[in-house]
Amino acid sequence: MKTLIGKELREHLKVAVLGLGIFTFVLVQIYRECTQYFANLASGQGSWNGDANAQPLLGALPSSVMIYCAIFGAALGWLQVHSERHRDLWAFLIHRPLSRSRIFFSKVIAGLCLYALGAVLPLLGMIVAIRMPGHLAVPFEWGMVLPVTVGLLCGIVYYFAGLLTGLRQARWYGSRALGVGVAIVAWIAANDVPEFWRALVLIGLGGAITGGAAWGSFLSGGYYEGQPRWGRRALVASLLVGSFVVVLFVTALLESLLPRGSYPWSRYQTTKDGAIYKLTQPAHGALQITDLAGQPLKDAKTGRAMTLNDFNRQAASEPSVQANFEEGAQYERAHRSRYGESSRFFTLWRQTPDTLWYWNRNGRLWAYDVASRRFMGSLGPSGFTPGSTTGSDRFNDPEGRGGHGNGYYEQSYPARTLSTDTAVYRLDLDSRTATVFFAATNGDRIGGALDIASKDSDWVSTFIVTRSSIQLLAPDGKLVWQIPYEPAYPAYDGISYFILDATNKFVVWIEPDGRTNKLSGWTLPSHVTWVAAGQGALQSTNLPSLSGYRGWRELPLTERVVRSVVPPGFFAAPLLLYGFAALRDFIFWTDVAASVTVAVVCAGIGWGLGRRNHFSVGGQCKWAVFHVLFGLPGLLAFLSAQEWPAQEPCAQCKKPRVVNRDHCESCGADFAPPARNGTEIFEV
Amino acid sequence: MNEPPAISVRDLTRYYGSKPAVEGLNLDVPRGSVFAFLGRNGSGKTTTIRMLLGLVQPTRGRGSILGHDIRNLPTEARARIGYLTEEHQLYGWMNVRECGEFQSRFYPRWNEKIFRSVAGHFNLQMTTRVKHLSRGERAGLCLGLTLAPEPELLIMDDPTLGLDPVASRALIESMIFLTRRSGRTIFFSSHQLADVERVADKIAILDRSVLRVCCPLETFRQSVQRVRLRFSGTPPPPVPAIPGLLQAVRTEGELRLTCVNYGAAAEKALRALAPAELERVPLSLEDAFISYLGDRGEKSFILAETESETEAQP
Repeated sequence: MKTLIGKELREHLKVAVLGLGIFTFVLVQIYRECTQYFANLASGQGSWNGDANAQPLLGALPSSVMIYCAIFGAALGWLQVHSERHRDLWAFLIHRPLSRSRIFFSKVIAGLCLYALGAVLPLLGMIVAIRMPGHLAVPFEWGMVLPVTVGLLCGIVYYFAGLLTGLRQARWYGSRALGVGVAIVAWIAANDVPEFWRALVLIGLGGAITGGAAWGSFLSGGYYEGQPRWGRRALVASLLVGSFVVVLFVTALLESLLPRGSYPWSRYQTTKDGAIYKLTQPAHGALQITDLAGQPLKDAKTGRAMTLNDFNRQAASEPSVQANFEEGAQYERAHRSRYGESSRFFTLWRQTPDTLWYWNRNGRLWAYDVASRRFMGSLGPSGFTPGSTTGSDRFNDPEGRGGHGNGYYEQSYPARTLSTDTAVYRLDLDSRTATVFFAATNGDRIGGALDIASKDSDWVSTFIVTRSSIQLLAPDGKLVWQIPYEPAYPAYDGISYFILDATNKFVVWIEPDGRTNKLSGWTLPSHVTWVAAGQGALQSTNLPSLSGYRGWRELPLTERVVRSVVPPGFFAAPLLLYGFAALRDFIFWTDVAASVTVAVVCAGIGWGLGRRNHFSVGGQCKWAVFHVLFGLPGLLAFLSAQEWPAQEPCAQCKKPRVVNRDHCESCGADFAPPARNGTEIFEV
Repeated sequence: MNEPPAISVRDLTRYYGSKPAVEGLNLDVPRGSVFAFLGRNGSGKTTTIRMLLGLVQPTRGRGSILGHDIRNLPTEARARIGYLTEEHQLYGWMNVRECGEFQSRFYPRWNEKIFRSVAGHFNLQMTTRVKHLSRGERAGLCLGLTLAPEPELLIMDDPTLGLDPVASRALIESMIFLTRRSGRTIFFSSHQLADVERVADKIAILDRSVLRVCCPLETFRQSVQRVRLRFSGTPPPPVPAIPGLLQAVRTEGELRLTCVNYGAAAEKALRALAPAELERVPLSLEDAFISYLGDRGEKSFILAETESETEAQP
């Protein structure tokens, strides 16, 4: 094996070196942009452009790594096979006293070493540069490496997909490259899941499928027949996923080309005068804006139905707080975001002329000197600790970052206060101190606090949600208004309030948790309270829930097509995750019915093809189950995998028979030897 | 007790799509023989060889090579089989020495002397890269790599294809060198019939994917015969249906027939045409082979046709 590994390394070293050069160039460019960004901040020429742009490991790098590793991995795998594609060179490689599996693994080991050279090495250099103090004025922790690690690992799935593509004896315009679909799906899914371990599982699964399919194809010289059973299964699985990607792509293409209806939705909206309207977008037709009695809202000037743009100008600003009273709420929130999002780790809380203050997920504000780009210390509720990132006290995740309003008032970011579970602190960054602004009493807990700004001032009030009450405080700490938090947490956790034109008047909405509402069959209403400064609640009402459920007939045609081609087997996933409750909560029977109908048709086609090609009864049944589970993508995978044997009329019964069996399926006769023509010369 | 054959296949069949490349092949290659596998381009020779080595799976049928099933050739069997491909493909970036070193690490019985001897025979410089070798030199290198492991069975797929006569001769001489060693079996396909004639004990001929001939070389030569019939005027049409007729070429006052297994019955049928003269013409292997694999049935010799057309003009 060592000899073959050495041969592979030498043969494809140039590919890895080329990749190394390209990737290093890309990484250097990204690093230079980041350092330039901080240089501009220090000189006052630039402004803050988002947390992810400051920390490349969470911003530009993951996408660059993903794209590069996908291309490099697939190209490397394909080239490793393509360079020996000539049948004589292939024979020279294969015909030696070494099993095909050992030859395959020699290739894979060499390929992965080259992949490490072309992808891992430059990235390690980049990580070292980012981590080094004085280079980037932004927090670093090893967890931030996970997104690029996922990109690197996805590249290995692409590598196997490249191998498989090079090996498959199929047409380019047919199913040869379908294996790449597994890598694409693993790539997308691994980026979408919240936890890193789930991403690892998905990548492992993708790698096992494409790797197994490539191994099996290597053993059989690229054909389906002649592979071991596990190889055939892996190949069919990769073709299945690839077919699913193709079906979705074609559907999306059709969707973009064909006239489409709107996706139906509906919601409530409060206007600046305190009235509530219902906005409904049907699948076909224009948006309808009606009052709660169902009367269309008309433009006072024209008398015509109000347009959405005009209506939005009348809509009230809507700051909101997502209440959370769980123990260690700050960690809970931090972990709620995806493993690759910058918000999971830190967020820039405020920037002073010489310091960048980051709220870190350990609950403290980390200070970085803008000029030297070095860490200075951290600030917690009990004060500033120079040179240390840790402390026994911690702030909760700041509310409202990234938030925005649509009116005069807006959520304040940067903010002035940070909260713990029991108190809200006002922070003075010049003196690096924190003082109590609001303290919960009688064992009450704080579930969220949000500073509100206006165009004239960056702090006009602070909106605080505790277990028992919802209140608004002025910057001097005086209570503006207070109402009880009812209906209560946890069924209701979304609190927003609308700032009205009328001075010191507000509307407070208490919204049910989405999942709880879904599980209750969309029966939980929204609770609305009109409040006034110094007076508290004026009146309240309940608005019926606007269900997320959409009827089949309401959906646009393309949406119906998409739902039809979703394999029925995919509906089993929520069933496995949530049990039979999923049948009621997550699965819409119309979708299932459409999907199963398509799958049954596909199973019929597959059955017919199997019969025509004289599949065994067991084989027919297995494929039928496969088609019923995987529908249209399953049928495409079946057609891609099978190498249909030729058929000839049987010399005895005259019925068509496949040529790859020793006996006729109909009459059991053997194949007749080739007909003699009288010129044969055989040694007696 | 008879030794089992080095190669034995029964009903070996391979289809590409709906077209059979090899159909119902039954063949035994005795140990120690030099077996030539002949046929026109596309007749199925390479496919057969690739099936024997497990590089292509048969559609139907079975076979064994050195006693091992061809569908599951174990690695130890591969060590005993040398395979020389028709286009002599190697890694272009390796030099001659590296090729030898690379190959030697897989074969415990690697004989460096043989490798260097064959390389010397073809005047190969050890530091020359494969991509800079001529086709003949590359063939020589491939032969050295194939012979050095001292295989019990040497399978060669048209080894002299595309080689100039000198390179072709050098390659054949190397092959003869190997055949001098006892117990070795050589199975090779070729279009160079002079070379086949020099070295082969037995031949098999595939005609349009079907095996038509499998016998000692001499038997084939004796079985394919040409008979010339001279007539005082135009030969009488049509040619009688005689058994084993391969070709009939009609020229002015002459009918030339090529037959397989020409016997008394055929001669009687021909004499019934009342020729002025009937004589048997000896055939070289090449002529016999070409006649055997040429188009069947009666046809006029192309020059004769041209001549007769020229004569017909005023």
